[in-house]
Amino acid sequence: MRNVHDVGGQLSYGPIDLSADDGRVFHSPYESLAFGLTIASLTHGFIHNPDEIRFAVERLPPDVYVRCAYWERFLAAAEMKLVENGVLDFDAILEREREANPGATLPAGAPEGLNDAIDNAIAHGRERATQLPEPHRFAVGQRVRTRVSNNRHHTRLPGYAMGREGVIVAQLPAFPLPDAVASDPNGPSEWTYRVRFEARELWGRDGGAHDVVMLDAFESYLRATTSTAAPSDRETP
Amino acid sequence: MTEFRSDPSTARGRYPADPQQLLARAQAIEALLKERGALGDDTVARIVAKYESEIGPLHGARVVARAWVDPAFRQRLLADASAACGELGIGGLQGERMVALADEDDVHHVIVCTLCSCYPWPVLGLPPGWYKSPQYRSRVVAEPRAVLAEFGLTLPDTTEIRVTDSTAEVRYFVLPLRPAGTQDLDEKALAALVTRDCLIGVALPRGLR
Repeated sequence: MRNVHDVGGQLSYGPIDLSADDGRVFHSPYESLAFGLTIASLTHGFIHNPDEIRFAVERLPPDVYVRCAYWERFLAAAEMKLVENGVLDFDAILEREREANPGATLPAGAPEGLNDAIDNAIAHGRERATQLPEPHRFAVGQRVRTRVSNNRHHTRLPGYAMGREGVIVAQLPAFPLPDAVASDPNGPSEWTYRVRFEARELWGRDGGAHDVVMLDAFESYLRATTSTAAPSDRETP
Repeated sequence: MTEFRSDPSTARGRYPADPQQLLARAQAIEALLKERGALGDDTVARIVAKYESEIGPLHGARVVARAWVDPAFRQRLLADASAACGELGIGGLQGERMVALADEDDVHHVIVCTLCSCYPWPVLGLPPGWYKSPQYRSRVVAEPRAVLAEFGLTLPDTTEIRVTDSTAEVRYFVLPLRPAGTQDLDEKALAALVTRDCLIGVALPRGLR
């Protein structure tokens, strides 16, 4: 039911390690390089959207996901997408990696317009909200139940919130559906909602009486609660 | 759609690696992208410099302090945080649709991304390591009070703790309550009370406990 990245609600990871929190963003040269390469690749369209990166991280073998550091997973995912999207050849990466100084013979300067495009993206973002012809299906205050699936594809509904009942607290913009655009950049968009769940609904008697979890759900993750049964994955488009 | 099991990772068996190997791998990718004309030799350095020294929690602290001193700005911030932050010249990647979650006397907000590491970059920069760690991501949704206690924050049992999991495109940050006894402070002094952790919700601005 859950893939390795879907950790919400697990209690076995232990205390949070705050000892390495020195305010620095990167702690090793490969980390900043992995980040910069990915931002540039997104700006260039070599990687179509962040969902592709997320899904690539999630497709790492579970033991690799667990043992790798965050930026290492990030680098592996960027590499995976550049290869899958036909931008780079995997053998060429390996061959270049074996050279003592992979970047020794490179031309100086930047491609025309690239730095401006990147500056513009960082300063103004990449708007992903879209308009849909139909209105939001659910209203604020409406009770909904989340769908249940076995996560065969990428999804942004965490396992801990599957099959649970909550209430819509805000209608949010329509965005490309991650379940689709993680593998097809031309996939559809859906309205999103902020949904409020009482902790007892998610965690049973282990939930705090005054604790609440809110998350953002795409429209196809939700059903109006007309029955007590969780909607089946087969009902989703 | 791509399925998990039908598309084995190209990275299988080659990760994890040590930082030197990882750097060689990243440099190899960088070199190949440059040869394709997709990267300049200063492109990555320019990107990294922005997130190492320009974009960070000081931006978020300015937003909070402005909301504390200017009720009209606060209203605009709660209606459309990205537009309000834009008034202060703050915005960009991963902040296209920001929402400010306003704490109340008996409601305390905390943000997390249980599935990856979503975070409002324009107001906070890139997230600290612990925010991306499985320890924080897994536990804060299920036992928020125990997690906050590890940060030294204990709230009354009657306070509602609302943990917001960033699972779509909206990026959240917390608008904490203005600490008592700060009525004489100007906006700049107020901003100095607001740390990164206050905007995540794992700390309160100094002076308020």
